[in-house]
Amino acid sequence: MHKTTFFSTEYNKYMFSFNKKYILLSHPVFEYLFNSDQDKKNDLDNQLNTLTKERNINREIYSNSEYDYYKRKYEMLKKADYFLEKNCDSFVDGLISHQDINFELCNLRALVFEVTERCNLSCAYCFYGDHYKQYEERHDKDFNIEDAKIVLDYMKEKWTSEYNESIGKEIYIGFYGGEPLLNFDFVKELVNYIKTIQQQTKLKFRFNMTTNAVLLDKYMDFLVNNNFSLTISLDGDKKNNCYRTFPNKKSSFDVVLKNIKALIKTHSAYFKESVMFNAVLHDKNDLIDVQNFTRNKFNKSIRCTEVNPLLVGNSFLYKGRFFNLDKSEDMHCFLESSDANNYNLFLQNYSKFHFEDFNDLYNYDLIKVFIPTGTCVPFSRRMFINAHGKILPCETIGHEFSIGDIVNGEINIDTKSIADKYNSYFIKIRKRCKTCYKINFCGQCLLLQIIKDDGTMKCNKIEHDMHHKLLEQYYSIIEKHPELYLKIWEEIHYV
Amino acid sequence: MSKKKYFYIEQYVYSNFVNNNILLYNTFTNKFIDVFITNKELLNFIERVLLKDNLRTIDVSQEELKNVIIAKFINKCRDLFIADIIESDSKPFIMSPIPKLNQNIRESIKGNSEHVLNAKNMIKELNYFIDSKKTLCTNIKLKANGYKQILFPFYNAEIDKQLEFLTIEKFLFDMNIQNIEKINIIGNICSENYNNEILVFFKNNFIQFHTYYLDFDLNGTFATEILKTKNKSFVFWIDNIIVEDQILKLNEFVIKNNIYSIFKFIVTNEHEVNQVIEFTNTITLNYELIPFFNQTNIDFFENNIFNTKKDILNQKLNEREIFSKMYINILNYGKLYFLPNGAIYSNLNINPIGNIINDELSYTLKNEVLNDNAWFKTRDTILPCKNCIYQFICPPTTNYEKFINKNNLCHYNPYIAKWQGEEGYVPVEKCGTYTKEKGFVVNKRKVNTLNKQIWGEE
Repeated sequence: MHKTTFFSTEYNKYMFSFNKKYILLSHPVFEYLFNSDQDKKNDLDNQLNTLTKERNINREIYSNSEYDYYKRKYEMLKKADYFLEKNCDSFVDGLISHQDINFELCNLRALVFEVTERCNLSCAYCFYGDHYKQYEERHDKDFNIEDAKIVLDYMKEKWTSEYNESIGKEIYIGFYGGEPLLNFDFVKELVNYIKTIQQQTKLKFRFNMTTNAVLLDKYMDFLVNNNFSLTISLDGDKKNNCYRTFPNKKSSFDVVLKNIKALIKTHSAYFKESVMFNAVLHDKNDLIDVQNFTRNKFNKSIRCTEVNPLLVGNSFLYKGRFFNLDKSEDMHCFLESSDANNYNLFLQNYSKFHFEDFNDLYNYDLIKVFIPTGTCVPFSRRMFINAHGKILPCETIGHEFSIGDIVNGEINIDTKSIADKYNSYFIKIRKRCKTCYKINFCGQCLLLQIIKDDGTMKCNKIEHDMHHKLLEQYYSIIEKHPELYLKIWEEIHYV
Repeated sequence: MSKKKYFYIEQYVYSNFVNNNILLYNTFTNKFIDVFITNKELLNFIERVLLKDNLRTIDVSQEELKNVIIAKFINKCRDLFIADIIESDSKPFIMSPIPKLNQNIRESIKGNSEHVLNAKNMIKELNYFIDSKKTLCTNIKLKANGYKQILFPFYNAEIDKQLEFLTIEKFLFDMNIQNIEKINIIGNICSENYNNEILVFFKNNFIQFHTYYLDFDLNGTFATEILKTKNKSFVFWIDNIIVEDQILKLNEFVIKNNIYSIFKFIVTNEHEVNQVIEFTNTITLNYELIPFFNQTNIDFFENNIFNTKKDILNQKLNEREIFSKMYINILNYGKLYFLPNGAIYSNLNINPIGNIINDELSYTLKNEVLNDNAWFKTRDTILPCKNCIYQFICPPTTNYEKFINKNNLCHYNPYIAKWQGEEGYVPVEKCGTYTKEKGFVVNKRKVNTLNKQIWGEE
């Protein structure tokens, strides 16, 4: 059962009801009466004595009329079930079916190939490097082009089935590495193959690639001609970028900068439209410096993520500054960052005003059941296939969680066994979720963060006495910057 | 930092402010404030509170607190727990109840028309009218117009050919049929024109058969065949000719075979209502009274169907339901109607949105999704409701409004903020004119004069 949580910012007191899903301004009288109710004192005389005693204390601060007013207001809220404990047991009783997985496959929006395991850089924090153990050893393997075509043929059937409800929306074909440009022949041939599918069907594709840009000068014409959405990995200026080195430990910065400048010079419109940057935040760089660098140098914002949480020990963990929302440029960066998405999720889950689509408006009263944790339904976001043909829900998930493969020219995706596997995880974790105060707002992925090497499950569960801290964290910032609410609410839409 | 006083509207309060008229509705208690504001200071105060960027929270000056009219308003809000005053060093944050629609397909279609086929998942109900020329129903008005108001069987001598179900099947081919919540088959299902292909196609869907009760042949083939199927139910339409024996037999048939059924009595006046009540008092019957507008019984509608203030504000509305009404018409949403000539409608009182024989599903859906025809016919798109503070509290527009050609089936005049019975009330019709082509057209000069008379110059 989830109780009402009282919390405070520096200046104001609030309360959140799980039952009514409203965050209201609180008054100390509410908290006092709520706690009194919680005591479940059956002896009426005792209760009256306690009230009188407490009221005498409060009288110094609150007048009789103020006390009486908030007592009446408390009674009104109580009558409206605002303080009623919410039984959230069924909230996370959701399981997935093989039909759900098939539906996601038919509506897959991003298919990502690990073009090659090879890389021309040797970044210190790379999760295929020495510091991670969840990923298989690298063998410099390239993706087999014939296998990739078989995957596309298989997906073509799915994308054109009656279960596709993403008609007209672009399907992203991603080229990931290693460094994908090291296996350029694969990229070229697959792009041509996809173009033939596009001609045969009404499907629309868009290519994207994440590259370290070391070979950008050599292949940029092809990328531009095929309108690739290009993400360049760069951790800021030369100092901030210090972990991105060649195998001989020499900095890659100058080569990358030269290639980016060449791209801007020859294809400035493309650069403006289709090139993005991302950075890994680590112990040697700083969010604000990184943002300033790309803004000043390229007139672009940059997406920053902290080093992968699977990192062994505390090496590389980010220790730099975070956004100062009093500055308009930081506010701009914040709104493009994953932090803004977290706020969006927070606002969505702590209010009643969010609707997913028109069907959600139609079923406004429907009590929804969710799958536990923040784990995605397989293929709901993407399908990642590594160079060995293992199929994964995304590129950050350890390879032991593969959900299919392509072997000897045959693709194996058993939707029933995937559903069974996921459901076994959900059934195991949900008992823990049912008493967690972040039940409606969990961003933890079972595969990435909860299941440990020995198969046990550990997560950052939030008990009632800690829930106020979570609410305080979000409300302290949004109270200082209420304009964030309208900006996030109106501008951020997730797909 | 010095402490300031902040006035804020509670998150659970729905507010609407139209033409100096404000509604503050406490969704926890269903108590409300609805006032027409003539005082300039109070008007400024309310406009400031409701300014989007202020998120319904403002600091209140001493002058404002000293203003008797503002103070009275604040006290009334506090009395009904609609709003409150807090003293604080910093402005509190109240998450203003602004509905957010994450994926708006209407917008995405404007960007890329191919997205329209994704609207197929919005289809919730298919209504398939079969030819019903052979009927025992003798009520001419009901036969001619019943289908436009209620799901009464369709009779039209001009349409002499029954659409083959194969055509519908072809049209629906791209759809995920299992997502459809309900199929209504309306007409004389016992006639030879009806065949059972539809039962095979929708074998996993919930089907409801609507038929005129005297047309149902208890000894016919259909009555035998239907018993072999699952997830089926009946609606028996009964007009003012109540043949008791047939009703009892039908009731016995459905109870015996455990088929969910409802007997819908069509009523046009108080006498018929009493007749049905008298009849149903003697037997156990699952029944409903369904009003029918026969063009001569507007008084019956005004007295029994039109909404009063009490009707509207006593609904115990779910907060999300109010938001839902801002985007969609819940009564019309997701419904498609097929007539025997192939015409497809989202509402039978307006023009068809496609034809099953010539048009594709995408064309039909586009016609509906991009327009405010039926699915998206919200009260803020029509006059006079567009000017009404109750527009999203009020039930959605129905077929009756369309058929009667009057959008507001209520006793409220939003132009002067008066309910019938209140001093100064005049009907909406006095503030403008209804035309078949343009709907309601307001006479602004007349409205201004009336407001000056009722509310004064200020």
